[in-house]
Amino acid sequence: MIRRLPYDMPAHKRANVHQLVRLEWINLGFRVSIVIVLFLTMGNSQAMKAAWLEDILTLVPPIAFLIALHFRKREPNDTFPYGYQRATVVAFLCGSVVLTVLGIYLVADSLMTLAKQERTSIGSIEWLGHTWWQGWLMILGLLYSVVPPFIIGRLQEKVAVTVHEKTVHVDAQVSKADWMTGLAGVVGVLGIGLGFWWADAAAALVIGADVFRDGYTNIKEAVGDLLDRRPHSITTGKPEGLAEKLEQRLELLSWVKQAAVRLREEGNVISGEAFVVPDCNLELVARLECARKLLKSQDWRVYEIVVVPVEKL
Amino acid sequence: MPPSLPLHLTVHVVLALTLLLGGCRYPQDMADSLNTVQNGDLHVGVTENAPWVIGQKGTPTGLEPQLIKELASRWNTTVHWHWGTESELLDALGSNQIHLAVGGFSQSPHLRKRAALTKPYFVSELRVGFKTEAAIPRDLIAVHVGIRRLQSLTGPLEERHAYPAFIDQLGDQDLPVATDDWRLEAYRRFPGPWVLRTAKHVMALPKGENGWMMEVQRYLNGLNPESIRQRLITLERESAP
Repeated sequence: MIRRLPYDMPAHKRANVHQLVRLEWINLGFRVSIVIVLFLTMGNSQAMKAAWLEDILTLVPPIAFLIALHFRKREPNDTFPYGYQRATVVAFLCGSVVLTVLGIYLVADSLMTLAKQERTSIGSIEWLGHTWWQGWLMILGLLYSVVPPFIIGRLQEKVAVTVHEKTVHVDAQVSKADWMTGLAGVVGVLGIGLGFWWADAAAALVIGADVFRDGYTNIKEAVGDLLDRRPHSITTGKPEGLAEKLEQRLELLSWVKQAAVRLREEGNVISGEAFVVPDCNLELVARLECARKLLKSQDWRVYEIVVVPVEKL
Repeated sequence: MPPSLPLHLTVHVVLALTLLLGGCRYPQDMADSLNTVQNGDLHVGVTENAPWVIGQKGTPTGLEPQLIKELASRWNTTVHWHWGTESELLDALGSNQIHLAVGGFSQSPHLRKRAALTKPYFVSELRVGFKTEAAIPRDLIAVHVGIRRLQSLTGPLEERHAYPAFIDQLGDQDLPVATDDWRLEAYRRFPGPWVLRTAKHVMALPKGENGWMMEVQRYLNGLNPESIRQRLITLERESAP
């Protein structure tokens, strides 16, 4: 049985991965702190409960990434001859499914509250010898939940692009969009204070819809990878035309009459097959090996491309 | 140095919000309870539970009616008392037909589901009381303890391997009895060190009446637990058969 050689990442990209790992730890730390702050300040608000549940689930992507990275380091073995490149994607898929289900639950729950016209009561806290409305404390907690993801999301996004970590990139976008969730919560609490019975559930509904959208986006991304979708650009989300570029490069070789390439993403790297129609069979083995090396040198993400000689395409 | 634009904006927004919220009362009610109360009518649902609420019709006596009269005197409001069972009171709260319900209620998930509860304004500890201080044993193992049928204490007593025995009244018992700490004091019993359970006493308001809740809460926060305890002891001694 033959196994793949381990993936050898270029040194400068490896440094970027380290940077990303550090960022993910910082991210995780802040997210845990947000979950704690929201838990401590959370009153009866349904919108705030929704924001809190979402924040708990957004712990999953960084944790999944950090754990999966350990698996990805493992070399291909007899049981897994293709290696563990997709470990991050599997982890990401699990998180996305949970996020989607939570979104559906939150939407249904707030619709039911709206239908039943349930009213929200927010109590009070004692501080400095005065009685304060607890809503103010909840708003402070929610505002705290907005700021760190907004900043970290931007940093993550940049680094994720350099090392082609789609899962982190999608997660970064979710973080960046998270400020809306927090502000929706604030509006919900302020609305309760203004005496609008529907404000809280309406805000929870908005948050639920946002959670569902996040989950759906993430599932789409993860399933695309697991179904061997052709490489998509991490920034534009459109096919990036790498296969076509490689075909053109192969056809520039004097011995290649025609070439066709198909590629798939395996987490952060790319693999696939190249079919070539040689014009003669002279030194074919050496030429194919040469072509393989050529393809690998075209893009740092190319992990393994099998070059197959065929009579016609 | 002039403030940067975002800071400038923030200051404006905060000022605008302060003016906006300072101009009207905040938080506000969803069904206007506080306005109604301040304009002269406070409708209170009561259910008998001595010494918290004493009576069966007319104007109730007991601790909680006293507290509510004190609260209403702030605005010269007339209190209208409405007698009913706990479940009737909760229904009336649910449809905003009364402003407040009392009857010695203590915090429970079941109550919280149906009404907005104040924070506990008094906490009773349920303990076992003995006739003399010297009679307090080292533990409750195999001790027969008298409890009233309607105070659910069998669980915590059995956990401590005591034998619960049902009694009709707390006074003139030879057995040690388990009940609220202030009741033990009213019957001149000496409480043992074991807290079987606590009861956190609250009042119930309609849900969503956040402005009204703040006023009730501010009043309750000003109460002194020790004076409540003394009032409970006095009331219990007065109402005891």
